[in-house]
This record gives sequence, structure tokens and C-alpha cells, in this order.
Amino acid sequence: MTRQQHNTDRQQPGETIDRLIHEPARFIIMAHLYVVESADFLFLMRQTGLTKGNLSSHMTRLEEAGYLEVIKEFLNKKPHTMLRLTDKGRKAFDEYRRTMKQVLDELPE
Amino acid sequence: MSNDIYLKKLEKKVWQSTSRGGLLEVAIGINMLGNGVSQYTLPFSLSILLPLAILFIGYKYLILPRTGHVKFGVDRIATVRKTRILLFIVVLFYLAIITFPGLLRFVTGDLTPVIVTGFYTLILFSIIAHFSECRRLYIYASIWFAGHLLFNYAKIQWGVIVGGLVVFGAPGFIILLIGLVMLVRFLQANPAPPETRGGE
Repeated sequence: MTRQQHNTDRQQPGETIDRLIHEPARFIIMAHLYVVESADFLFLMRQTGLTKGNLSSHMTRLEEAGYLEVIKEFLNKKPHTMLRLTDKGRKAFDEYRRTMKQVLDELPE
Repeated sequence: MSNDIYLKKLEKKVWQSTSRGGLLEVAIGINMLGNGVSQYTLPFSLSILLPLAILFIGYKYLILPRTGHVKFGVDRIATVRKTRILLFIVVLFYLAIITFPGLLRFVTGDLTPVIVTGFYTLILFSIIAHFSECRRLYIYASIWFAGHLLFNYAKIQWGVIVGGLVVFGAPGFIILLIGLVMLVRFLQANPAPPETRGGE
């Protein structure tokens, strides 16, 4: 086995971290949506402490990646927007948690 | 494992955040203050329904527009359902006990209805406190229970009418005050968002 082949085969755990979720604000958004069924924009804003613009831009990134979906429904006859993690988003978050645990466990003492 | 603990704590924090605003304290304070002022003769409808109305209306028109909407997962919904069933059973059992006086004669003495009523209310509040993870309710329930016992025990055993204002009014006023302060701080920290298109 050549050195190049060895390096390719032996992928560092840090390289598999989902960088989309790894960003602190997006991690907080994903974590909050992971523990509930769905939530609206205002609820997420209050829980995460992010500003409206900041939250909106991170949500767009997550939606483009297919991790988050926007559900339009009616609440008291008024249109209401709820946000929910997709199955892909939940799997990605689970994988991210596993990867991070592996990375932290493999850290030298 | 630690990841799961973090997520459980986060879910619990999110759940507890839905009962913010001090409305609970306002409702309990009004109930106790009302009982204290009326010397514990307030009609049932006023003493229970008025605080409940404040809770529901306040939550819908004051709290919810400022905190936003959330739908919890199946585990939390199952817990809420179990709580409601348990409360329903306890209330049914309590109504059966007070409806059939003969059932109360298993312990002699006039204090039995007082103790039974007190304990059932304590149990009701404790169930709500446990499943809603709102520890403050244990304290309020204990205060109410102590006042209830003291007021009725003094009346029955010693023939003394301990002022309702002392056993219920004073603690009720303090709890109401705490609730109002919490509510004002909540409203200041969470201004109502302007109406936007799409309901966001």
C-alpha cells in the first residue's frame, strides 16, 4: 500500500463532520427542532436568541440542504408558518451527533 | 449517552418555557386571596373558574403571541395525555368520596373531610407539578394545604376562627404579587411581534 493510498483510506473523523450543522447557530436551530415536532419562526427566535435576519438566513441554508421544511397551515383562520426537520435533517443530525461523539472520544488525553 | 441527556434537558427547557409569564402565580394568588377575603366562603365557581379563566385567556392572548407556537413530540404528548387521565381519575374518586358521606366514616372525627379535601387538592397539584415539571406548584400546594388545615383545624378543634386573611389572604397576596412581577418582566422581555405576512 502506497502512502497516498493509506492516507485516502484512513479518513480523519473530523473530515466527516457535517459543516452545515457544525455552525453554532445552525446547530442550535437543528437541536431545538429535533426535540419538538414543529415550531414557528417566533418560537425559534425566542428559544435560540438569534435575530430575525440571522435566523432567517440560517433557515434558508438548512432548507436548501433539505434538512428543514416549511409548513403552511391555518391557525384561528390565519395563515401560519411552522418549521420542521425533514427525515433527512433528523438523520443528518443523528449522524452529526455520532460523529462528534467519535471525534471527542478519540481525542488524546 | 451524554448527547441524549443534552437533548432531554433541552426538550425539558423548551417545555418549561411554555409556562412562563407568571400567569400561574396570578391565578393561584387570586384564588387564595379570594378565599382569604371571603373567609373561605367564596362560591366554587368564582374561586376556581375565575383563576382558570385568567390562566387560559392570559395564555392565549398575552403569552402565546409573544412566545410563538410549538408542537411537541409524541413522548411529551403521551405524558400530557397520561397526566390528564390521572387527574380525571383522581377528581372522579374525590367527587365520589365527597358525594357519599358514608365513605368518610372510616376515620372518626370531624376532621376527616378537611384532611381528605386537603390531601386530594395536594395530590392534584402535585400530579400537575410532576408532569408539567413546574416545581413551584409543590410550594404553592403546600402553602394552600397548610392554610386549609390550620383554618379548619382551628375552627373545629378550638372553635377559633383564624382570620382567612392570615392563612390565605397574606400568602395569596404575596403569590399574586410575585406573579404580577413575573408577568411584567416577561412582557418587557418579550414584546409582541408586529403582524407580518404569512403569520411569521
